[in-house]
Amino acid sequence: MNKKILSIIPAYNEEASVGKVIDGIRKSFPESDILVVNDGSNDKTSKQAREKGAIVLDLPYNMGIGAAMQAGYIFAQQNGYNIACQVDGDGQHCPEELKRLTEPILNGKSDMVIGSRYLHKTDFQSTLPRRIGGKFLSLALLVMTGKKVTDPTSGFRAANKNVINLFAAEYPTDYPEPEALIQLYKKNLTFQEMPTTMHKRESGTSSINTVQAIYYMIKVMLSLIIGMIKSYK
Amino acid sequence: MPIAQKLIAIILSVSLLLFIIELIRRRHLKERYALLWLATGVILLILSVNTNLLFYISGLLGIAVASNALFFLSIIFLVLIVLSLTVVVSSLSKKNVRLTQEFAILSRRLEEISIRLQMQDGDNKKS
Repeated sequence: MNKKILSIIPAYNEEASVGKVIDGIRKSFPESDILVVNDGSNDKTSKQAREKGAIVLDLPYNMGIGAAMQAGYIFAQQNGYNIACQVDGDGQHCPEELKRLTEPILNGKSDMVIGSRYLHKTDFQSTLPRRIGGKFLSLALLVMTGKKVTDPTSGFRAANKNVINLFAAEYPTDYPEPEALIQLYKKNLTFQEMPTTMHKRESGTSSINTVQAIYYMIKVMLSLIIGMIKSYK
Repeated sequence: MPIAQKLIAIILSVSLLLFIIELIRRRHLKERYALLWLATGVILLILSVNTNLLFYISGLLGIAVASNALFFLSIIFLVLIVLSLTVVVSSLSKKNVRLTQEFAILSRRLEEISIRLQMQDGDNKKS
């Protein structure tokens, strides 16, 4: 039986890059439908995505990546998709690698696959505070879940139906990527990483300085700890 | 306690009670939260009419000055109210997120259906 696959692109003011991302997915992963969740953008993100023929959900105001991704998972659940991928709208991820990302799910090896920039040495150079922050987060997740995750904030992911159903019902809002891993761990769902290459972002800025990085770390740590003590239905 | 102070306390708590009742009457305050506020107003009224009760309570708590017992109790009460409001806000914002997501999905569906209807309409006119 053919599996229904959906690529979800959460996008907030990505008019410059969202079109290219859609084209990339369509070219290298044609078996996937493409859903753009426009998270209340002030620019032409929605128009660009529609012109490229993607399915577009327009959230009426900016609600954050967690709520936007969850809208995508709800859509996937309602429309009977077997696999849902997450691809950032800024062109950082390589659509050519999507197919590889979904393989462990098709084989039933994992419930979720995370594309990691740090698993193998790649040409992707991140800033120092970011790398230190990432290492620290990995360590925290290792202590909490006993699993080694080299790139817990990666937004390049593929998930099977179990995960789609879980995330459609409940998905963390503030720092969803790392906290979602705790959720999987607590629900006894499996996840694995896979090395991916990552481009420099095509547009927009993500320059965070050291103070911001530390502040970010504290907030993420808090959300992880809360994630650990939270009860899941 | 001087009679003027007692009078002021009684007037204030009666006006608070009246204000709360008026809010309920105009449906500005939901019944769920109204009960808590009504109870607060009544307790305040009882304490201002019967000041000996306040002295008795502060005696029980081992607090020397009766007004400190009043402050202590009101702070506890305020903390509880603020906490319950935060719970309400959290639940509202969660529902709001869900509502917005469903809204986005439905409006896309509506758009899709109306385009299909228009196309059907066009086909009907042609034939």
